[in-house]
Amino acid sequence: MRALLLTSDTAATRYLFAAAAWLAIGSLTWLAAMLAMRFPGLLPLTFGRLRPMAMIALGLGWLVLGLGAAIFYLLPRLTGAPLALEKQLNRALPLLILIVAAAMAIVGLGLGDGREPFALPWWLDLPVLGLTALALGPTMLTLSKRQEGMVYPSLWFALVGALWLPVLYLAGNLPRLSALGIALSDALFSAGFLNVWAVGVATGAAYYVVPKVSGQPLANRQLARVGFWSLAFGAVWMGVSQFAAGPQPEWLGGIAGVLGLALPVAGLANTTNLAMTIGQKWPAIGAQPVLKAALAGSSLVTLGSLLAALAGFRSASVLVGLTLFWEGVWVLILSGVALLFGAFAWQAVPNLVGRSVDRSTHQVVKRLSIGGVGTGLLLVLAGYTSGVAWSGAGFSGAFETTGAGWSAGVGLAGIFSGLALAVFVYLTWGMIGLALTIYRALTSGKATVQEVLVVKQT
Amino acid sequence: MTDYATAANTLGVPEAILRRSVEARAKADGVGADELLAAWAGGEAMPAAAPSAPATSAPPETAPGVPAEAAPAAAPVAPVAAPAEAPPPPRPTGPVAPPVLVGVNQRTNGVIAGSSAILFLSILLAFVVPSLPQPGTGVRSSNHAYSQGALEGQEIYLEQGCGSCHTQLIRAVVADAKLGPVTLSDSNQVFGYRRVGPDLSAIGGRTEDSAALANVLRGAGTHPAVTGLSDESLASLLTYLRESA
Repeated sequence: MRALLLTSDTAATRYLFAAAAWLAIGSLTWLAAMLAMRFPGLLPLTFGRLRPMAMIALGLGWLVLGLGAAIFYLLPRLTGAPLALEKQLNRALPLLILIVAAAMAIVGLGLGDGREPFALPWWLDLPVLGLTALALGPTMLTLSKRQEGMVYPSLWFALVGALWLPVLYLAGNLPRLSALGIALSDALFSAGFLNVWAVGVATGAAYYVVPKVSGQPLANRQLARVGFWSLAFGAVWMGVSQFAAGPQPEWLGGIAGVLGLALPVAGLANTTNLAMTIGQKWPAIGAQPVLKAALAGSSLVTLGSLLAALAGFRSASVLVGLTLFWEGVWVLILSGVALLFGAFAWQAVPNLVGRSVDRSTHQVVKRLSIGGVGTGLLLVLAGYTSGVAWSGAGFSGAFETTGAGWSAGVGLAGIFSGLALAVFVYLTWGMIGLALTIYRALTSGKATVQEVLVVKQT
Repeated sequence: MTDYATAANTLGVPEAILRRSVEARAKADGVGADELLAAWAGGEAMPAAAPSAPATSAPPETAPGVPAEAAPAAAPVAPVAAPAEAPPPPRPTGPVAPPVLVGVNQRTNGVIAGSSAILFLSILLAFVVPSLPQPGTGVRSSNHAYSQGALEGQEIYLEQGCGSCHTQLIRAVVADAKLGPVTLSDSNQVFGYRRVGPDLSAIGGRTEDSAALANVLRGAGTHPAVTGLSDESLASLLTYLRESA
């Protein structure tokens, strides 16, 4: 532990290990939320409180800290300059952890504002805005001292992730909006957070670790460029379409449908690029969990993006809007991000702490992939069947009484969501396993060489 | 004359990428391209090799400058202080591998400016413009005249996260046809995000029996009990639902 504190990359190391803890906490809370959704009344807390609690732990605890760690890890390596404000980042970490814990507790106590995805009351928005901006200062300052003339695709993603997140958070949490304004700003922030911060930064990290681990240069820079700009164009449009035929202007659905198509384009471009980079090393992929995780993660993100884009067409959006379909899309994309995060962490941890990760990583990749696809698609089916049921007006009784239970009224959707819950347990096992691989590397990993950034005097 | 084609073949790297990497590295380190290629191919030690770092002794913030191995970074590899039972492995020797990250000499301003422009345009189109009131279409306004008690109940509705399972959004589609009048733009209801439970837009008009509604909130049927609320708060919540008609 002493070695960990003395060597370089202290901010990346500490944020990564803090993020792993939140990943485990968030996964268990999410499982509890899914249980509360499928079996209302089973747990003391309702789905309405547990879901935002899970999103706080996963979104603010795991993703903001963990992908922040990825940015802090990549920046010195891509710019040739030491990470700026590293001491301040280290000092701020306990406070940031406290903010996330307080946010979970406050929402759990029933003091949230009900807005997706975090439901934080206005007086907590300011400290959380600071949390979302934590990577901005170090990124810009490090960039201003850039010694390396080359710009790598990973740097684009890290840069935009750091830049966009605080602005999106601000736009997504403005007070005193109309009901429509709240719905649209929540959709904007949720989609932007997932696609720019989570998918974008994790993909950027994959663009660094895949060439490093495979020993192959990035196959195609132009494809990376397509992936990057498509993601930027399509980022915020996922989910807006579920309010189609509502009070939003007609043209918004059209724009969301068209620009939403950029998301699967980004996914396909990035996945193809990573696969082509691995190229001839494909037969050896089984021995490289980093490569397997990166490819599986990018594929899951692509699948989720594809479904989201399909649901952007008006005929589909009125069918699956406001259903569990969108929960399925979130599960698919978040599982993909977990795999991409695993790829980054498993490449970075040995370099950061001088200890290797164990072989359980193979099992983790399997659980995250199967669990993510299984849960995601079953929820998508649940959403689709309930949408069909509503449109067919076959279960109109469920509209008319408040006590009958909606999911009980749409039987087939209930079966699918029950199955999804069963597979979700497997996914949770994978997510906790991912966190454990990071901790086990620190506590009992075999000694290996550590990467130390050496700087030359200027 | 540097033979990039042969070197690319030997290293298994596309020639264009190799040429770009070599030229950049040679320029950065002030060495010849041939010399650098020979080092990458394992012929000799890397020219301008990075100084080895003392293991665990130099906190990054005290060491200004740039990574010696530049570009993608990484760097000289040094053994870390390893646990007593596992002695640190020997320092790796042998040929230095060519860099596998390939960049292009460019500024980052374009990325920052382009992505910022897209972000502001997206916010404008996806949120700001569609949220603006639509003047001149009086019938579009559908603000509910909630009483003070109902507004307090709406706060509780939000705090309890009811919108996670219930919508108050009736769309102009077949699926919503039996729910009630279509929701209009200026509604001050809580739209909600998914229908795990029924839509509650006009629940006050659909259910006459307040006692039955209260029982649902206390956990009757499949609805979970709303816990931790005082009788007053529960009454406010009920008032809100009753006035949502």
